[in-house]
Amino acid sequence: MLGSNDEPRAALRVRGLSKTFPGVQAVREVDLDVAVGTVHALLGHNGCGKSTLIKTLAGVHAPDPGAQAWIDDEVLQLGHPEEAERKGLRFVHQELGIVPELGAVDNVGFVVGFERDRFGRINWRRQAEVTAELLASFGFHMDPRRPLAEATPPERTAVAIVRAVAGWQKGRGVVVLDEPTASLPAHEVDELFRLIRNIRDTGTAVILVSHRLDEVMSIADHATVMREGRVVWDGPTAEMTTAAFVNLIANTEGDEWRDEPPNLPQHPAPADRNVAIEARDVVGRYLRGVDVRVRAGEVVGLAGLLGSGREELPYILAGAQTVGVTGTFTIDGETQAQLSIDRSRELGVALVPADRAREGVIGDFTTRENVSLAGLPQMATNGFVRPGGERGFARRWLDAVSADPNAAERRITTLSGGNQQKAVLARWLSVSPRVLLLSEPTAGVDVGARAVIYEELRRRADEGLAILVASSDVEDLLAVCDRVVVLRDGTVVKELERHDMTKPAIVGAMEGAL
Amino acid sequence: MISKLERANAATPAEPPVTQAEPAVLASEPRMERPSWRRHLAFTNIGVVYVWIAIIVVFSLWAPDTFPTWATVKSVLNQNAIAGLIALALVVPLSARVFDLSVGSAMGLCNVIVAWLLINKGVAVVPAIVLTVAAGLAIGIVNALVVVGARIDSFIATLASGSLMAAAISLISNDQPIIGPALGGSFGKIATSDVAGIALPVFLMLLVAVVLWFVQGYTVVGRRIYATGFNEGGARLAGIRTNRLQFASLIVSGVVAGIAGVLLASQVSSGSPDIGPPYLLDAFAAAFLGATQFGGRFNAWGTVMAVLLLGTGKTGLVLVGAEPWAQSMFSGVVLLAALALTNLERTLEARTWVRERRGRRSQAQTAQA
Repeated sequence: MLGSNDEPRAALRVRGLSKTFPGVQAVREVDLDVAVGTVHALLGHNGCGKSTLIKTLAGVHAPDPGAQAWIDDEVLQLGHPEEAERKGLRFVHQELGIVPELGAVDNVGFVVGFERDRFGRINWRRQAEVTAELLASFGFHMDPRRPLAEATPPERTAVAIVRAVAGWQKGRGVVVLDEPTASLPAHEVDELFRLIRNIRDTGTAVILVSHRLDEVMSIADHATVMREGRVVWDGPTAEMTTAAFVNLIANTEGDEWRDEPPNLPQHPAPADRNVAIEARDVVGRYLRGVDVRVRAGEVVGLAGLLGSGREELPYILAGAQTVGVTGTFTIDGETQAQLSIDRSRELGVALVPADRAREGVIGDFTTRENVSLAGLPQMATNGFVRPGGERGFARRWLDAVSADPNAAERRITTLSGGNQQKAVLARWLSVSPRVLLLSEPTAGVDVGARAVIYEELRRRADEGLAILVASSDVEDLLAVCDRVVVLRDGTVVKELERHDMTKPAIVGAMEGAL
Repeated sequence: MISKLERANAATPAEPPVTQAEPAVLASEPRMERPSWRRHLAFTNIGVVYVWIAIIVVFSLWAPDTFPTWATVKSVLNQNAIAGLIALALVVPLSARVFDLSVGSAMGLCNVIVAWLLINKGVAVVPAIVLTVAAGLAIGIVNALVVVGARIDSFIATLASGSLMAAAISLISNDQPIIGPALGGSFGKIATSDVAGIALPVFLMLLVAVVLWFVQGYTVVGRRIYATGFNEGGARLAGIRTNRLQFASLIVSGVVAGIAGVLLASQVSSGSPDIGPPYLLDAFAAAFLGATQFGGRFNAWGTVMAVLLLGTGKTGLVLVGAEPWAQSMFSGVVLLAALALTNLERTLEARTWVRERRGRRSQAQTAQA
């Protein structure tokens, strides 16, 4: 190590890592250096190979021959999960892997181990103390016995992160956080960032996978940008701007994107346009008497924190959530007290669900079958589907939403999140709905695909479609909506028209800082 | 159902408007570059056929006088037609992710019922058959009411209903085979009349397979059943009436089990209390083995292939004079081997692809230099 004292010591070094799947070389000859005590962002849109890179490092996938890696200058054998864990490379996945019914005591204990007495019984009192101390040392004060389901989302994330780095207080190892903020509302992200900075300051290296560039700019010291499986940029974030990152990630020329998302041309729906859908006095699990109306040609945004009813309303309007729901729903002039999935569909309501993998796509279907799923009955004659007709249909619609039509015959799960979402969008646009409901339309969707989706929604609205977008990402709402309805604790607290729609106004209303 | 949807939507499928959108900023995802005939003949696609050929070759060498004969072909087909029907009956609910573990008992019960009607009750042939198939339908409805109506997990619910059917079998037959002259004659001809030695049940099995192949591959209902099986919640949100499809799928398996029961009674000239249940395991094995073929879904031709593969092996073992335990062992070994080989082939395929990539890249580099 002579002569390298001016260089920060590498916590993780990777050389020549490639990973090939049947049909796709997902990662190509990647070199990566992560310095001790830094937050290192890994950027790129879905499908760029960063998830595969992470999974290969974790030992989930075996890399192609020829790859080498070191942790703290010790050789790391790739392709063995236990090896990564033992050498000090740990992972916190987006799903966290916690058991929400159990408290922090158990969830930390599963990973770190339990305090036992000499008969092997778990000493729960001692275990609770240790857990509380561990969390407190990272700035989280919570009752370790309370089920995590009752904890706040950042607390849950913190438990998952803290247990991963437990025992590393002297600063070693590398912890990989895969989109830790994806499910967090903006104001709760700060709590998590404090935690990440604390961990970094102990000397542990943090690799942060994120889609949110503003976050990356504020917390990461160093960034690596990937595109098509390769590293296209690597350096300190201080040298970069958000706009420059967007260009690197999306490989577009700079004129399309600014620091702010694009404010697409406004076509405010005239007040005399028909009301396509109107819901009055909706009560549900979270909602406590909400009125919403969307006119034809209008894009209405729905903002609110988790639990405000924001995530619930689209499902109620689509008839997918009926238990304990009351209200009056007027769709296309027909009023009813009770909706069902079939009734809503008949009236021309389509839903792009929030959880793409579980509700949006049929994972074992090809992209073609996913696109044509809703439009099949109209395409078929006497229930018979002509294969050629269906292929053409899927290709045309994929093309219409700027997805690659050549992906039509591939299993949809081999596509990036952005392209999967485009396919789901194409599925619903193809049946010419009157009302399109979207929940979290850009979750796990890369910047490039986001722009395409925004543009597509705007264009359909201009053609007369009524659109309701429920999103935890305020950027979505600013980019595409004519009007934003802000929910808090199950009621509408504010409605913002285009001219007063700003991020501070929306976030302020969501958080109750009025 | 369709007309209502049409009311909501345009009468014809909507055409995407001409887009002014700039080309996708996303790089197009790399494509699989393989000629289509190689994909169709790949082991992953039709591995059962290769294993089948291997078995035929082995037994032809082992028993050159008795095995490679027309008699063997007839025997394999005729003896496995009913097993094939039962396996095909299972494919429908399995595609909708419903397990019908009662299908063997259902066939057994229908087998006993038809014999009982003909012999104990003196019912004429045609009404007896109609009543028995109706019994199969009723069994399907009961299963569907329990599984779909009462939302009891199909695995346990059909296990329970199968047990009830076993009780009904005992009740009707007193645990004695029901035999008599009425099972011969015109009723006996049903399963034994043949064309060039190929008996009627074989044609019936092929007919069911053709119908199933068409419905699953080329109709809206078939696609929706697959969607239901792969992702019930997602299919429901996509407006598919998953409950109805699962309900209907159990009715299909009940009716086909009823028909199979009649054929069985005609073939063996008896209503036997213990003849049905053993069919269950082989039918499941065939359906699952078949699902590894032709694209990885439960499907008609894969299932028929799998039934014939297992049947060929068993007949071959009989002809070479193997011990009785060899047959069960054969089924188990083939099933495990076929599934393992399918996995292995996928791994090899991935490696080949890497090698091809490397080769092409180094060629390109040489060309540049």
